[in-house]
Amino acid sequence: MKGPFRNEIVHLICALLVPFVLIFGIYVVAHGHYSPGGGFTGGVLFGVAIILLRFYADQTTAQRHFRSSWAVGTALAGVLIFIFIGLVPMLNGAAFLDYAGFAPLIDLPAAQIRYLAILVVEFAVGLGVAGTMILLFDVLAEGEA
Amino acid sequence: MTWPVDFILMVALILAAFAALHMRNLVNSVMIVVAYSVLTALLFAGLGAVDVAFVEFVLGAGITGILFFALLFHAGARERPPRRRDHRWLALPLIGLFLALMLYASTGIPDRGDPESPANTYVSPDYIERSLEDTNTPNVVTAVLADYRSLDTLGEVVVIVTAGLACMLILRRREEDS
Repeated sequence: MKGPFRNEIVHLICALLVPFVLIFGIYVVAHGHYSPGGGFTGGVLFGVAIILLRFYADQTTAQRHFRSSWAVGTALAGVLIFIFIGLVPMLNGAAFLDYAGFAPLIDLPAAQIRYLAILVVEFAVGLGVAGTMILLFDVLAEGEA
Repeated sequence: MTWPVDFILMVALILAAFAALHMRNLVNSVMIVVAYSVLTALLFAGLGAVDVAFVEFVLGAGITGILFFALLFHAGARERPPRRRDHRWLALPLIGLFLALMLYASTGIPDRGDPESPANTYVSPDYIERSLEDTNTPNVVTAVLADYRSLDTLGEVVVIVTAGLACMLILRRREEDS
């Protein structure tokens, strides 16, 4: 892409959509326990909101909201958080990713610990997927620039 | 009662696939591929797999279209005509053979929604019955993805991030090369 679209229709539609898609993406990740969705869809929606910003806003505004150099870090942070959540139970003798191994550390019933661990895992998945989507778009769009 | 809807959707799917292949203008082709993803997502929703349908809508009809359009801006939107046409007589019999093999194999899979099928009798009833008391999570799909089978989800995230990194390494221009 040689730069953001100069068309007013694209500008208006994207500017209207970005905040709603952003909040909906975070909502889908956080409500994965109760409604369809979870980490993958929420992460992609978050990434799509940032990509829409790059469609219509000029370079400085789009980069100020989410710099392109953060995309790789976000994706890797997601993977690392996931692996970290998996390794901590091993320190208490449980298997990898066995959330019951958090029981000595956190004073909650086992079902609630698994609930919170699922939330953290979905958040990590969301980060990983969002970072990858933004990275892919930036790499494809900078080709001719 | 839903099989007419499924039948219409599948016929539309096949027509969309043909249309996407025969379009000269690649922008039209990408739009038909996005429509293909929407039809597939509707088929999934008709089967009751709402999470999968959501993922297909967002990923297939959302981000894939965007990435294809981003790619079309420097590849050009006109498809170049194919250079040679004489592989058709080798490819068609092989495709026909593969299609016959798949149709024969499809007679061996269990009926849709069969409660005695291996997928529904091994650990699935356990997961469905115990997920709420084990994990306080009403959504069984999330509980299975992020708790019972979280190792598979870890593998999926690693694959996605690795694919993104591989694309970045291949496609990103270095300042000293160009």
